[in-house]
Amino acid sequence: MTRDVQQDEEPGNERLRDQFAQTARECEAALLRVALRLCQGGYDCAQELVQEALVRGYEGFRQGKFLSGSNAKAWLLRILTNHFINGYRHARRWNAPLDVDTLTRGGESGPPQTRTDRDETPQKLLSRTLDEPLEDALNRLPDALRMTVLLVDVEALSYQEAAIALDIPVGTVRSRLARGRYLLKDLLQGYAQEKGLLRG
Amino acid sequence: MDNPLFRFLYSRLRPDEPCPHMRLLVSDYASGILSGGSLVYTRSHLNACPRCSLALEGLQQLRARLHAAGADLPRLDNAHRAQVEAEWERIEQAQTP
Repeated sequence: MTRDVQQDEEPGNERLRDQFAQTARECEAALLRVALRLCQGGYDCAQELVQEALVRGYEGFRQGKFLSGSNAKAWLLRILTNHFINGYRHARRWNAPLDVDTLTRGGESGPPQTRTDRDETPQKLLSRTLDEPLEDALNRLPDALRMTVLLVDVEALSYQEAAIALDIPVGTVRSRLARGRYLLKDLLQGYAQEKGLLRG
Repeated sequence: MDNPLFRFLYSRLRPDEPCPHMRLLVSDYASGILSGGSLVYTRSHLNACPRCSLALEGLQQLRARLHAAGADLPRLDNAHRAQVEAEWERIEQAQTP
């Protein structure tokens, strides 16, 4: 369970930093798990996303934007998902497909906007070490459904906490979660049928 | 189920798909968040409906797999951790009068 951050009356830089660093350590793994799946396994993308969330989080924390007594994990996840939506997802810089513009006249690939080798290796690693069909199916969900399923079913946030993290009403969490779960179940069933584990 | 429209709608569903009006309730039941009248109604429906109880079983298995996917503990690598610390330092300097 994540410890809630307590802000003192007039804490010094060191004290504030220690308090936030402790929270950051407690939330780091959860932030990275969510970031890795938002980035569809892209290692560098996930690391940068979390780095940015922790920097913005500290900025907000020092400005008193974090309310004492609220859930620090949900708050940091909100910063992370906002940054993903506003930055990475719109830019599509981490998973832009190879297209004719990236090919030179000779046919070889030009300066890549695609994932690098550094990105691919941990992605494969993630797929191997975790549940590969599940990771594939998660990647195929629309972002809004994937984020909701990740926060509630993987990170065990309550509906209320997920609503805070995603900045949406609880009712929307409820409906997106149901849609996401049924869709994921269908995708996994399709995968099992493809592999001959289930009859069609 | 005597209504021909309902018969038609249900004939389009797979055996493990919940009744259309139960989709949200079965998902909420799997989360364990129902209470009061909605819990009583959902439980009694699940007891009587093989389609919805099969859907629930599928969701519970899915949740177990998803929960297991949250067991790994990735960490920030040293380069990104150093960047974070440097940025924190910069923020402190910018905000200190």
